[in-house]
Amino acid sequence: MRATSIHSTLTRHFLRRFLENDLISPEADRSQLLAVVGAALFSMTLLISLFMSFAYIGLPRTPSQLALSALNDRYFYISLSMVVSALLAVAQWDSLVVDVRDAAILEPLPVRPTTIRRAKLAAVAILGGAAALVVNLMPTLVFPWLLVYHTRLSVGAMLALMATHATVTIAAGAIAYVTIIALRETMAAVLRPRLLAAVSPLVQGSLIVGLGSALLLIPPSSDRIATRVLSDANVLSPPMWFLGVYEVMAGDIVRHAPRSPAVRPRVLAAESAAAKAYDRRKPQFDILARRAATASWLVLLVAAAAYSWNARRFPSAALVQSRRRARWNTGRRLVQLLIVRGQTIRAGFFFTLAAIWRSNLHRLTLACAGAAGVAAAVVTLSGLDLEDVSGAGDVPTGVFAIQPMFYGALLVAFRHAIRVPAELRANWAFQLAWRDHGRDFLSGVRRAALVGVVMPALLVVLPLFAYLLGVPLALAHAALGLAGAAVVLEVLLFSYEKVPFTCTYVPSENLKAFGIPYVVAFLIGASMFAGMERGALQHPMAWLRLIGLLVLITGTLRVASLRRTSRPPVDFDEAPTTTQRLGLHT
Amino acid sequence: MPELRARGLTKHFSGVIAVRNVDFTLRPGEIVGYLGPNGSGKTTTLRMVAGLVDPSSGRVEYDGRNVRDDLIAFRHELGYVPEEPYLYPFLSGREYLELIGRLREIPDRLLTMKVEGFLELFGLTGAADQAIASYSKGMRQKIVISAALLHDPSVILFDEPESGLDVTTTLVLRHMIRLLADRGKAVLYSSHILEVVERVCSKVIVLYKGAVVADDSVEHLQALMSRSSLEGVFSQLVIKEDPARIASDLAAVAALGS
Repeated sequence: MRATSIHSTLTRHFLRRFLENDLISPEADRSQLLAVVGAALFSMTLLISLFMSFAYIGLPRTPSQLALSALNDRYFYISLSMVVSALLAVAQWDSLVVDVRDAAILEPLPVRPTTIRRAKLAAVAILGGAAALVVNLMPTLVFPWLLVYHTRLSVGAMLALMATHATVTIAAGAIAYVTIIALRETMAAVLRPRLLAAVSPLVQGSLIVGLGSALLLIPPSSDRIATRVLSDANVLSPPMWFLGVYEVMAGDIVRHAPRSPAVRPRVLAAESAAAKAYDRRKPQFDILARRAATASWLVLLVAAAAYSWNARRFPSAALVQSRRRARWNTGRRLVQLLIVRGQTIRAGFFFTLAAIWRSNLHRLTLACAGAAGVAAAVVTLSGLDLEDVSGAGDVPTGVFAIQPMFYGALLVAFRHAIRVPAELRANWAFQLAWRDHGRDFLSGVRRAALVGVVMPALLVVLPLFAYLLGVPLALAHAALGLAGAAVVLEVLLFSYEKVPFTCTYVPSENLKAFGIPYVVAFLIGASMFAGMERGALQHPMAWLRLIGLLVLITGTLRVASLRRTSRPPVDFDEAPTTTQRLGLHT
Repeated sequence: MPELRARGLTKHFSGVIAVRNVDFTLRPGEIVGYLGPNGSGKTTTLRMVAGLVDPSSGRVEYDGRNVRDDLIAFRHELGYVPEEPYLYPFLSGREYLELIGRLREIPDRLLTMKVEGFLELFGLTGAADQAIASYSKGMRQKIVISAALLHDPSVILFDEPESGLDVTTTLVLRHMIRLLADRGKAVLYSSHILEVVERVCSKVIVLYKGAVVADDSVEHLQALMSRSSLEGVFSQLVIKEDPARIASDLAAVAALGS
């Protein structure tokens, strides 16, 4: 086989591997999956572009006013491209380079290592490029056109605007994508394999939480950009740097667009003020653009150097798990003594903790939920004045909603995660050892959720409430959170009849129909619970009553769940219904 | 101890018959070799006996009762070593054995003793707390064998257990199987290595194209077919073409174009 043929075969192989996971059966049509995902992204970005550009169609503005207000939207599109590209790279974290499995399979073949590495690099580049294209294509076609809808701009100028939009947003996305690669490769170059194995999942999880939060925070942060351009704080904002590039390349096209000859004096005055405001920011755009260029070169240089350094040899299947047994023995004994006493409960507890922390897909699911929680907290806090808070009564109810929203989002993600098998082919061992003790196993899973998901979430928000309410009230608030989470967990697992993390994944049939009502109900519930917490934290007796009520609800739900008689035997290999029901019959 | 019986076990996948009307009996203290060429239905039979695959017809009886009537009780008595050692890669060897032991509700103290014992005897103590993802096939196989024996089962199914094991461990495994049989365990041993089966098993069942073509003691089969070894018996029963000629053809295909 010729070298180019080997290269393209390997590139296709690596591209297919990006799609591999336990949710897609080997028989699934990957091109259909790609078409669905691509169509969803295209339609979503088209919808966003149209929605954001309506303002330009409805109200005619002068060119300088357009140039100023376009800053917000341009910042939005650049941020969106950067965050989505970075998120994609983080999601493919270990697949961005030739990994242990690739090396084990490909190294013995008579293929030159450079061919394998180049093919991997090509696959990574195609993935990043395709993602940047999909995210930015619709905005490129729609936004510049609607922005200058009421101006008399020539077709050439319009095309220049579109080309600039495409170039800047795609370049920003590419740099964000490469930044993640540079970070991962630098870690691989600097850290020893054992340390890398320990640190890498933490970094990946943190990045998903950070980037996921950033994605959700893009709309509120794309506001008053014209004012922020003048501030020194933008030195640390990469989207702002690329906004500088955008304005240097195409700012004047809109700013100096031909005006309508007959305008009122009031409009002329507004145009003049806007022109002055825009021109005052122009030197700043130059600085930002230079910063973008410097940062881009730096990122490319670091990525290339680290990639080349790591490419000296393929990774080997070294024994990389650290030996932590002795250190954890005491902790494990304590947990076994205090939290999980039965053997089956222990099986459920420890297996759940291992699955949610060590299985890539499950960690990813929880990290996404964590990102949503952080974003919700930031949005909530950004609109509130918390300067004169001296007790629970002074804290707005919205702040109390942060905690239930945070652990609630994580628990919903946890409920989804337990339906996904940790390793489908390994569930034969569960089938053989299973003794119809699902309740005990689920009890262990529930406790693992409280210890491994809820308690870390409560610890994350504890400092905020300790700052606002003082330590004793913050601890009381956390205790309410734990009791509330126990109720949520009981509700979520009330009718769960499978073995978590082991049975085949069967998609929900009703998510599309009930997704939005669920979200609304969740937000209303969190808000109501926040109001109850706020009231309860002002009087010790009220706090005790609320805790008691939550414990009572948890107990009642558990008893009701245990009394359910129709518990079918566990089907470890349940197949999804193959017949699609259209519901057209009467 | 009760005996295990397969009665008319048949399995077809999408119309293709994998196993056809298989009958055999596995008595306590007996080691039965289960032989057959690739694709003859050995693994499917073992998976049906273990209850991992539903038979299309026929049944497996243990102590005179259909195991499907109370699969959980039967599996309490069953140990199974599958052909492919699929395990949870993010667990360590120790964690995996603890998980299986807990699911089987082995008391904690006893479980710890058993897990440590297996890890030490199989030479896995040093790797016990490392992720299974980093284990070699032989190491995984040792974990699977340990997990199958953890609860001291009465019936043990081995599906090519020596795959990936080094010479010493293979020898240990052979001795262990004999000791298990001496302690009254019923062992069904599927393997390609005829020499091992000849030495270890008291009886052999030969499967060809999904059907049983022989079921007798090794000595009786040798006498019946006038062959001096099990390999000769096996060749006569299932090898319909001349291996030397196939080997020669294969070599010719490999040399094509050179």
